Amino acid sequence: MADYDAIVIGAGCGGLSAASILASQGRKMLVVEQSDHVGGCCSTFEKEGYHFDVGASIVEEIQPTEIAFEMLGTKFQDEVDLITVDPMMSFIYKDGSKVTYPISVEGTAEVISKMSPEDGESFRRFAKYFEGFTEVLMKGFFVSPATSVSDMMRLVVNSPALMKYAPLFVQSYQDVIKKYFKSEAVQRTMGYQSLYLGLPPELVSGIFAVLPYSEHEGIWYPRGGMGQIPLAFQRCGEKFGMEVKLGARVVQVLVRNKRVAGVLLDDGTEVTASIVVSDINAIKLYLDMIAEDQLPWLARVGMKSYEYSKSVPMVYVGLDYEPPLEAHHSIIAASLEEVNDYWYENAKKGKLPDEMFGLICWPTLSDPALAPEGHHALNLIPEGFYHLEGTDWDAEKQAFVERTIDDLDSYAIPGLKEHVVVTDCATPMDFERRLLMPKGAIYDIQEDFTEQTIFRPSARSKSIKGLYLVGNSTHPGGGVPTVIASGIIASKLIDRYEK
Amino acid sequence: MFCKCGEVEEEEVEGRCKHIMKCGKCRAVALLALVALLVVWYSKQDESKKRFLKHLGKQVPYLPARYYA
Repeated sequence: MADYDAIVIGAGCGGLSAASILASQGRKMLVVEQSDHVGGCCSTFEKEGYHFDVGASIVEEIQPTEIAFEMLGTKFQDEVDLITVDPMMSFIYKDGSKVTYPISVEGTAEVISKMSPEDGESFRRFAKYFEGFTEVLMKGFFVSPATSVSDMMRLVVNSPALMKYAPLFVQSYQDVIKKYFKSEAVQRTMGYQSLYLGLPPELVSGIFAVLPYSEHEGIWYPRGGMGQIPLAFQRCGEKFGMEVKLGARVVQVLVRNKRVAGVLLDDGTEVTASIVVSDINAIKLYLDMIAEDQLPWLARVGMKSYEYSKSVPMVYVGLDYEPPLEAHHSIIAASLEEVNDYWYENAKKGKLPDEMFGLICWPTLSDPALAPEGHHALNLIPEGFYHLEGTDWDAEKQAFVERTIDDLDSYAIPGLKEHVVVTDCATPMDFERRLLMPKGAIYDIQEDFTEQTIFRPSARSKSIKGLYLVGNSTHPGGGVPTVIASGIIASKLIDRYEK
Repeated sequence: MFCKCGEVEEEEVEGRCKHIMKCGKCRAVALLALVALLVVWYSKQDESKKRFLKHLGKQVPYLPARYYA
């Protein structure tokens, strides 16, 4: 008799959503987490009275999360107090000027029209086109298994509108943005987002040009910080008897006769179960925790062929003033060419850019209680990468924090430097050590379409029976809503194959 | 007859497409024409598009293996 019906490795949002849903279906569940808290990249920590989100900074595309909580017999909005975030994004130009897009498509079209009337009209068409695509994604794609050709055929049959978007696969992200928008100032508001997928605008598929639109569907921030989402899953799962074991690290997945038998913990304890759900990086899972020789050669080749998505350093800053920003999220506006150049000249050569560009998150605009009264917290996400030529992040960390603050102080956030009360930083190396993300890749494996759906590590292992994958490594990819969707998919597959 | 290759008897041929499918030499010519068209099309693309297509092309050999991952 096994100790548990199923063991989940990792208490990220993917692991917790899968575990809580399976527990609600009557399975005896154990979640094993190596750190001392749940949530992984979607968690919140406190330092000197300021609360900072470790990685994830907003919630969008909430339909999969709503479905997950409905499967638990509750509502997302009843479990987590969601604050509506509007404006959607502010873009800061090098001369210090700012352009801010509201959530409303019409409002954004009007803002764009002031820069370029032609592009304002194009934005309405762009939004209409990708609104249909987003609907297809939400209705079926995100919460349906994509483990085989027949799954894909089922997806297309159930969502024939997907075929309308097929031409985007042979266009680049850059092609699509340039097709719709002629003004460089407008293009500058849409260049950076391709890096979420781990590639520059000229290399990533046009299908992902949906990204500059997707947040117009709505964004929210959980009161109390992003960590409230995994905590809600934990709370719901525990009502159904789910156990969470913190501070325990799985060092090996036990496999007997090509079927999982349980896990081995770092203290030597064996915990048995006929199902194991992995919420960790798939390459690490298969090559380190299971062993290559358990895989057919083709699966080994496939597993080794993946590239990692981008890594970023996170700089957490506590302030004793209100920063002169206009939105929860700001991006340093960068042209498509500048993002491409960054990719070839900096990321590929291991050379940090001279000037910071990336994302600025201002969570205390939405939830002031995250900092002492009158104070504010910022999460700065400058572009960076794991490999640095001739040095490493441990050596560069402090200088990098100072350079980032100096640079932003000079035009983007005047007064920043003299109002800093507390700083902290998580480098790609820290992410690798603390969250076990290889190369600090926050979205795990790259997310181009050649690494998506049936070409991403399968949610139901094709090599080991009883092994299921959730999280960034598997379909539908990296991000809070998508990893929660992966938990739903795993629970559906387990329900189908593990009676 | 649509060609003088002699590989396919005239009476077997009901149409141009069917003939090309059955005749080895015609198949090779059709394939070469297709490759030539692709080469011409590729050479007319700008450098950025070429890098996108190369990037895509580099991924293709991995797809069968990734399917089994």
